[in-house]
Amino acid sequence: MNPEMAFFYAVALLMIATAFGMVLARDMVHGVLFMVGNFVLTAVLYLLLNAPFIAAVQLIVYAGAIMVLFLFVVMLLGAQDLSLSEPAGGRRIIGVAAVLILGSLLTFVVKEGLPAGTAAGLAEERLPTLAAFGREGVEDPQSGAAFGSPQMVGEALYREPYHIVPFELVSLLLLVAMMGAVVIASFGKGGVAAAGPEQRPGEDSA
Amino acid sequence: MPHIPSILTHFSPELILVVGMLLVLTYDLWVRGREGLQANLAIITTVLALVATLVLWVTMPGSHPVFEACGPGAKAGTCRPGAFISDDFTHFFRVLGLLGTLLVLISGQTYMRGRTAFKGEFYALVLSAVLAMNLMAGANDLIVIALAIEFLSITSYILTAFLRHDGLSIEGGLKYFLYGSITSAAMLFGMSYLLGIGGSTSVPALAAIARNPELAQVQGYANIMLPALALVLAGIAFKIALVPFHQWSPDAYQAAPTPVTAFLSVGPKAAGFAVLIRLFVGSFSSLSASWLGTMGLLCLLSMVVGNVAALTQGNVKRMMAYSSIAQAGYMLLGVVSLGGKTLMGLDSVGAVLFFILTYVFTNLGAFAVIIAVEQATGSAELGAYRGLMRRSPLLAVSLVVFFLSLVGVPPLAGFVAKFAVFGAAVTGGQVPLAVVGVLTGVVSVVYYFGVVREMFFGASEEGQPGPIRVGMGTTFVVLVALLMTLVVGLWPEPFITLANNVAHSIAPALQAAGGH
Repeated sequence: MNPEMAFFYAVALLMIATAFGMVLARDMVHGVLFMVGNFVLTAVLYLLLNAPFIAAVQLIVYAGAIMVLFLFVVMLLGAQDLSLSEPAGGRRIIGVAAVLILGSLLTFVVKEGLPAGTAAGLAEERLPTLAAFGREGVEDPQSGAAFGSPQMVGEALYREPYHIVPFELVSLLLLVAMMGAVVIASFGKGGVAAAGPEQRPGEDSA
Repeated sequence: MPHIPSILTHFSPELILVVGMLLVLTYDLWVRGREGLQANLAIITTVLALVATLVLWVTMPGSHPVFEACGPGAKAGTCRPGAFISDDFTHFFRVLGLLGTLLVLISGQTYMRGRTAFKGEFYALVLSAVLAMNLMAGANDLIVIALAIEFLSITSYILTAFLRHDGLSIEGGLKYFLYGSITSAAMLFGMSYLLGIGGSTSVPALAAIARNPELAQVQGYANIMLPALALVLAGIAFKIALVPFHQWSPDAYQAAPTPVTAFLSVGPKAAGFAVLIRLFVGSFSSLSASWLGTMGLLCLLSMVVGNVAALTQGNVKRMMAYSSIAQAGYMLLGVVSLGGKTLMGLDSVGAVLFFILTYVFTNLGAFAVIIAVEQATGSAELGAYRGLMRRSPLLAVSLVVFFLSLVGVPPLAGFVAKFAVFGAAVTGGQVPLAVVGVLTGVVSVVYYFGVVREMFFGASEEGQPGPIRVGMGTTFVVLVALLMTLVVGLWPEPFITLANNVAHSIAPALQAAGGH
């Protein structure tokens, strides 16, 4: 096992551990901190794949901005003790069983479906766009941009119209989410006062 | 940029929807002090997009990829297929989605009046939901599929929880959201497998590998595809509300503002089937061994659970939720009878498309009545329908016709649709599923008849409530739906031809590969 692989396994094990930590944490703040750890480790994984730009974005956006938001919400709502919301015994057993079944099925399929050595061969031959760029020194044939560089990400997004749909769709999606926040979460003027009847006619108050 | 004319042409219905949505949203800013006309603006936008689609369909049939990636100096024909494709199949679902939304907007226009201060946001959200449905119909790339489904989901969550002062509405929206986020995660996980094996997110590229596994250079390619396709199927089945991904739907249907319920029962289902057919039948039909079993199970469960659970519902919106789960099961029956013989000129995919077409009109007609009754009585409980025959013969009689069509009684549209789907199932080697379908169809008579009995024979204890005044919008929608239900039932040929042509555009290889 070369050092790169060893490093990968170490990171992967840590990721699994932090994921478990997040799910099992009694204190919500601890859970969020485990999640930060998981996000940082994901960034390390991206670095291993020679994608420094994505790694940086992962750190700034997920480990940075989004986690601050999470912590903010947790602290504001003060939901520190999760023992009340823990699932009942039966449901927990079903959940664990479902996870185990899915996990072992996937492991079985990947192990049996891919004979030994195929995964490596797959990376070598079949995925030039992913794996070949992943090796050092490989450049985009058209622009000469190095794999994972901001330039290449930018060119993939903007040079050709292929990715315009997803790109613009995401912008619209943010607009829709914002509308949702305004409608559902706003106080005061929202929904009721300006609109007249607080209840649908004929319905009892809840 | 040689792409711009092509984008402006073949993407025009979607562009019209985006512009209309932004206009509706900002209406309050540039028109002050007048009664809001956002609903009318939304209707106009939908009509324009519908006209654009029809013009495209008639004048430029065939397949037109948009947003191609050709690279500088690439020769023609070497382009990566577009991220969005505008073909007959896309047009079919665009027209269905836009027509359905139009009927919902017309019949639900007065319902939202006075119920919310956020008129602009409401109609903007409806328009963005249609946009998402159109994108699902033509999505030709996994990223676009995932984003469009997510777009439609998020819009639907907000619309369900729109009446936030109503605790029920928020609860329904939250349940919908929690189920949705988990199935989305499962779907994306499955898609990551597809990308890992195929090396591309482009659906045609993946389809090429599926047809010729040599290209994948992975031994046991089909084995890996099994969990990948199952996970993707989970995401789509959630949108269609197939058992066991249906638990959100009765709560969401009951809690949502009724026009939204009408929309949810039709729009996401049709769009979900668009993705399902394009992906599984159009692209991965050669791998049918990997997904036919799973899908058959979903189909069986949906028909049984949907029809049986509907029996005990006291709320008509909830009953319609289960009824629409069962109807989705019947649609899926056509998908799993891949390679079924042609019956009345319809092959199995054509039968599904024909079924969806009749379902859209019949279900929206029924919901137009439900909206009208809820507006008059303030309730969607079974008791609200007591004596409806005396109070409004038009509503009562049309609801009976719609229910009969949903059951599948000749000579209505639903009969032809069910006949085609069951026929495809029998000839396509799914005889047990077809038998279950027929039996559960008989069960469905019971719960539809429960409503009918209330309407005709239910005696009101609190004296005689006055007649219901039916608005113009509702009358229009009910009449259109009635007309379609009767015309498609009595004179199905043109619609069969239409459905068949569309089916052939998505799965031309199906006849060759037919039978299994």
